[in-house]
Amino acid sequence: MKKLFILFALLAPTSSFAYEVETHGLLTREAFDYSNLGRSNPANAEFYARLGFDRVDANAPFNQDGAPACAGTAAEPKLQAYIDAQPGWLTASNPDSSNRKFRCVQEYERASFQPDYRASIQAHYWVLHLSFGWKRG
Amino acid sequence: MRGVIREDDLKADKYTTALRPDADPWGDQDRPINHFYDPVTNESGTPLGGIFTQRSLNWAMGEANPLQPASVPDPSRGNHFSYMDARRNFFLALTYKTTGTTSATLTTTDSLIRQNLWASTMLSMGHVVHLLQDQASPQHARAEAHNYVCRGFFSLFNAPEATRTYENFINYRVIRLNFGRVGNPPSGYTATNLCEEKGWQKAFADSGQIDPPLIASWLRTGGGNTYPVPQFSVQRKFFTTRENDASGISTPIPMLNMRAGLGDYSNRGFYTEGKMAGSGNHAFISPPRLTSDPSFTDGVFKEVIVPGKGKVKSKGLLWQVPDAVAPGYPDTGLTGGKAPIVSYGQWGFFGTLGVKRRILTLDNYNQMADMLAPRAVAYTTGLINFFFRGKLEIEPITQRVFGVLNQGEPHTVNADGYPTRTSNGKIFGFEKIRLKIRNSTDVITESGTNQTVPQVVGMGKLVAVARYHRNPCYKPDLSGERVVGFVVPPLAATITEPACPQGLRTNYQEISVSAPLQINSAADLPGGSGGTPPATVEKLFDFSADPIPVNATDLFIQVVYRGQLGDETDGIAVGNVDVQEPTFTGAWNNTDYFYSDLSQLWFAANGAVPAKGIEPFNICTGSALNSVLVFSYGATDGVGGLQFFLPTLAPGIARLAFINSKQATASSQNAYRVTPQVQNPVTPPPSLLPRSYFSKGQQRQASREIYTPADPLPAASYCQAFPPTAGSNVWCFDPIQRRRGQLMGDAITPIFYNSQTGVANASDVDAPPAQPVFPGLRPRDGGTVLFDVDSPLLPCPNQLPAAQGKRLELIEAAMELGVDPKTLELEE
Repeated sequence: MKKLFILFALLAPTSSFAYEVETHGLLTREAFDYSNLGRSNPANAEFYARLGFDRVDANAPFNQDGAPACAGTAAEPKLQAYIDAQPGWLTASNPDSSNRKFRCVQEYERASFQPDYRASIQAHYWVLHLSFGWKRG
Repeated sequence: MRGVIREDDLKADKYTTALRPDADPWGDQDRPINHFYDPVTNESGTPLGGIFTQRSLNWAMGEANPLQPASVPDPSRGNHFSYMDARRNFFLALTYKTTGTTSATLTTTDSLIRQNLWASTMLSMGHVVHLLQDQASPQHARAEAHNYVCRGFFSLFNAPEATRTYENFINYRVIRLNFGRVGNPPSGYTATNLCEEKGWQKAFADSGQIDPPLIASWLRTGGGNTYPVPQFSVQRKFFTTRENDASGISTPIPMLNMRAGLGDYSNRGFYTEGKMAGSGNHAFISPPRLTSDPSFTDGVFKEVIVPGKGKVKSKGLLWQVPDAVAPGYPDTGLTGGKAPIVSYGQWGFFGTLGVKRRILTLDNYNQMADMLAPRAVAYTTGLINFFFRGKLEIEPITQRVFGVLNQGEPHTVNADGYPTRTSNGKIFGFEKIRLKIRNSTDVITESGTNQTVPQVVGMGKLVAVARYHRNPCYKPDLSGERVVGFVVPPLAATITEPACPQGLRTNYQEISVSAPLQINSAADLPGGSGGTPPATVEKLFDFSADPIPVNATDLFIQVVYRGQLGDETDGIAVGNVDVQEPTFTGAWNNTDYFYSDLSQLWFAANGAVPAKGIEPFNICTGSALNSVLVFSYGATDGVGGLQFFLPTLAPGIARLAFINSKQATASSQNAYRVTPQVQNPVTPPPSLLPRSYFSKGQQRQASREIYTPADPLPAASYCQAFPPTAGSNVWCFDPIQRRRGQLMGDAITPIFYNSQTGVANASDVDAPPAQPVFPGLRPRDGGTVLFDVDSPLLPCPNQLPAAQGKRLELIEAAMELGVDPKTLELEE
């Protein structure tokens, strides 16, 4: 599936990836599980309660029943979307909502992983519970 | 943390298939060009001096100069998923609300935006930690090109293969080991650039890496990664702890070695293929440029037996990589504390510098990864923990009450189930919340220096946020509640369900946000210095612009601080407390009946003991000597008090709603006390006496926030009477009490005469023979909720003789402790 055609060489020193996606995935999974966000760590129960994460579905953490499905960049919130806002959003000089967009989880993200492992990746897992979809071990 | 993947997004036209990232709505960009940062020079390494690119540190932090002491967001930053964005999204995920929302359309949208903001917070942190992990790639911390395109004009500028080996090889190793491919042909590995995939596969196989070394030393769980999680006082130090000075490449080695950021470690600790001895504009001084440096030790890394030929020895240099955070960390592959960081070249023993020619082999890369990956994991953990470190501790005030509302004020409920105040159309609900709070953020002990950095607050703002669902079935007369009547123990009460097509619980979370309180120093929000926690300070939060609805369910009170936190200019600290849902209390005029302590019977009012209007009266809460006055109704509040109102002779009821803290024990009960006086009082006694009434408090809370048609809300349970099993999926919705045919509340008391001066231990008004039903009720509006006044709460006025007062207080204290006062020997 690889398809990346990297950048013009005049910016050569800055024109390449660092660790590949699976390596970043592994490092992040390990870090995440060991951090305050690691749900399997009983010591994090207080942290989860403090932010209200203890009452969300780990498999669909930031969900809302009946929310419109996410499709394409939109001006309104969508299910499992994320916000891409310009730096001035909601500052005194930019109080309106015109400088924010709602973007969707991309199939591209799942497809970035090795083909054999995509099937184990569920996009909504990526948000909180598992930094990456594949199972440990 | 999906941002870890998305940080490598390129412009859409760089992809040859439709499977590509969505275009950046604010202008597509090639994010990887901003992934380089050399902490020695404080540069990205681009020959165009950063005109088209940013230092990855700046890109990650979202700051124009992250090395300056005060963190200042870059208002023109192109990266909308920087640390600054993560922090903004975090704050908004907690507090975002469109003002004036009294419609379900608006509040569902707000709620969904907050969910999207949580996702954005995590996504942004994913982007940030990607960039931090890049600093564990020496090529990124030494600003070395390793670009490659398959074809076309720009392929003329491809970096040499040797410079692209490390990251491809490490990913190959991850894939083969993390997915159990050891021993198989390497066909499962797919290179980032498809056109060179087979070349990499062959190169790795030919180099004896079909079964690369295990990565157990990288793993926290089930592995050997015990690298201490670094702590720093500000976010950028996870990348570098260099100061904002001009020392650059002239930094002396000892000073360089003291730097504790991840980029500092990988920059000084390892060679890169393209900059073995530095570059034209930057002669790296660490690792040493000269092979003859006395810090090196010659070593034999590996011996390979070649059949029929003998042994081939792989030789190179061993060096102790300076680690300022954990100098003695037992990395794998060390010999005498030194790591095989470079090998001798196979063809040519002496290089251009007149020393042994050095190359980086896959074995060297394995060693590098085995030292860098555990640190990348630890630093990533450290940065995540730093981001979420701010912690507030919330306590109830002594009386264990957070809010008080006169539920008798005129209000209605709109079509969306919002209670609105008749007088002004505002949400009808709690307008003030009192609580006690302190900053309980842990002190930071900085890695490398072991300096202690207190996490005290400075200038900032403090807001309280109520999180809740609603009972859209709520009605001002409480007919939208579940109801029980009196039953003679041990019979179980039968619960009458309200007729309510819209259900008892909305399925999305709403918030009310208080006006901000100014915090000027730690005196306003003490704590964060470690040691014995300081006393909490009481705060009164003003929700008058955004009241907490009287019909709130699943209620939590969060407090969010944003401002100076330790050395972080704009930190966030959060506290949360799970409170009880509004508990309806009722004290009604029951003087149409009086109680004989002698015969222990109720009698209808008569000429000697007439029914009377009750005015003034006070209501207190808290037990015994801690009882405080929270509501007062006097002659100046209008005529009537608690009368038998014409034309139906419906009695007046003082019906307040309380937000109490969760019980201290399962049997603890909250105490409320009404201290009535009567119009034209009868003296000497019988007279009306203060009466206490009690409740465990009402629970209207489900185990989870969201239920779906496939996973529906459980049937409502009476949890205070029948506590659910811990961890069970339950929807607690405790009923209110019906007496004399009317819906009174949960903690209820009649106000009545009794024949003696003692405190009556009267039977229930509905105990056989039940008193007649009332034709209706008249909830008392007016009066003053003294709880909401911004001044210290006053002690409850006690109108009893000392002995009787003491008895009442003892009963309250016993109930608060969960002890049945009937088991106590109380002196009359």
